[in-house]
Amino acid sequence: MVVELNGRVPRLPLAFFGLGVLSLLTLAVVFLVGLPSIAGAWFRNPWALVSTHLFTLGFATPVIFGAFYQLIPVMSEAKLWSERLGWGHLVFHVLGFLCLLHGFAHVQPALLIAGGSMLLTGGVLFVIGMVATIRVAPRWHPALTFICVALFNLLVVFSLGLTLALNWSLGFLGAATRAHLIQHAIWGFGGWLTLTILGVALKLVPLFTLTHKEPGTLGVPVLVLFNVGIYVGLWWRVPGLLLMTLAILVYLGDMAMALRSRIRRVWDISLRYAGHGLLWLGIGGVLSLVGALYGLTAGQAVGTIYALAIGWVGLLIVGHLFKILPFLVWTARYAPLAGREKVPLLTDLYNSHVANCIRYLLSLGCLGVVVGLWTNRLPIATVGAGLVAIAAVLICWSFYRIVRRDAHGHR
Amino acid sequence: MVTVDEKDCWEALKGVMDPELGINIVDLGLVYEIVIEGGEVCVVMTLTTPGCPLSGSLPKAALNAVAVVPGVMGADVVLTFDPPWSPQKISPAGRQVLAGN
Repeated sequence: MVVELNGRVPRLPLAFFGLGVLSLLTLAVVFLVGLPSIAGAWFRNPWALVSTHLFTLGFATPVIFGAFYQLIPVMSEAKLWSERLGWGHLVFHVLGFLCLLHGFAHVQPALLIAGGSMLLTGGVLFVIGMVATIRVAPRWHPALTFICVALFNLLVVFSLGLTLALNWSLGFLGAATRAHLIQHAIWGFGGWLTLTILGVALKLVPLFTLTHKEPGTLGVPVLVLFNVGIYVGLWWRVPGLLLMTLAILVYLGDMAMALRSRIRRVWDISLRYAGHGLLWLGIGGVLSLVGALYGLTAGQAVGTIYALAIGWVGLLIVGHLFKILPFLVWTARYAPLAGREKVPLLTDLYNSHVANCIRYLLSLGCLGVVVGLWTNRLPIATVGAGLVAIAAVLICWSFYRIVRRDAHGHR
Repeated sequence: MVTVDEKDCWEALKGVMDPELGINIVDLGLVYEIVIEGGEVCVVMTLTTPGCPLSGSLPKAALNAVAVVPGVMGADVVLTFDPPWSPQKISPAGRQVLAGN
């Protein structure tokens, strides 16, 4: 998508971001209210299913969709293949998402099938649009390889989800239902969300830190290791997790080596969020490994997923939004004035104290939920979920202020 | 008729900031050359990477900046990646800003 210098922030990414932050707020409330139920049993628990899909399909995935509609044309040095296709994707995604939420909340398998079908259709439209944009890239960046694999994995996740929805009515999976559910989760968190984050970081981290030696030389081995880890993990949990961990460690080593040559020494807002996120990825990885070795109670399983969802993916995505939203607003409203008059920097478009406060609230809240659920102390988990809810309110407020800011600095 | 002073053009370009890095495009080493022919000015510049998110706005900002320099009748910006930008092109003043930014 070409960002038009006409004072109007591009609506397609903004629509996906709007869905994302509103879903995060809803998730925070739903999780807080449903926590006693979720901590007792997660399998086919409406509270757990609604919360999980509010996070994945309502928050994380739409924000990535919105970011891709802006970022992929930039990375590919090409125009977005079709914005109209993007709007079609948005309609299918929102309708499918709402059907799914209603279907989970009221246990209506027919709505799950309808919702799953619409989400898969939207996903296909999205992938077509992205691949058609990427294929004309004059230069190939290693990040694009990660993104292409992640796009394939997204379709696998949607297909597995639809299979599970069909199975809810028809019961053809029988005893394998739980295994399919775990595959759906591993592919979603690992193959789609994590690979996307790792791929985008390959391009953006060197850009923001002015790192001349770009990471990504080990991109293909990392991708192979990680995806083999996913496949192996579908049958043998521990070896699969170890392979994925090894892939991430190789990736981080490659990135750390490259960052040693960075010119910009101070970490910006998105990298500070990424620091916390990586800590939670480590914690979530260790807890997953413990779970694979010794088994988990329902509460412990939910705590582990929470660490990976809010701690890892959530922190990374919120941090990235503090970059991309100011960028979109700046490009639309201030770029036409740049060179003629003094215009604000991206960091001037949001309150950095609030942004940092949100980071700590999310991390502390996550800690409370994980500790509370792992030690079976519900009040601690409730306090943690409450902190995350406060963070979600602040996120909505901050992003609303950024988008509403006009060219003269009035909010 | 006022003749265009190259120094004025460089000064004007120093007013164009990279909004992400908080450093002007001259100290960042993005401006390679300023060609002046009569009242016509051409700024030859680059970006830190070909896939730079600011590829649409920084050249336009540079154009805005030189267009108002005294004596300039017409201005143009040529974007090039030959040679590609490297951190070695950052001025000492720019490095100082980035070290604490």
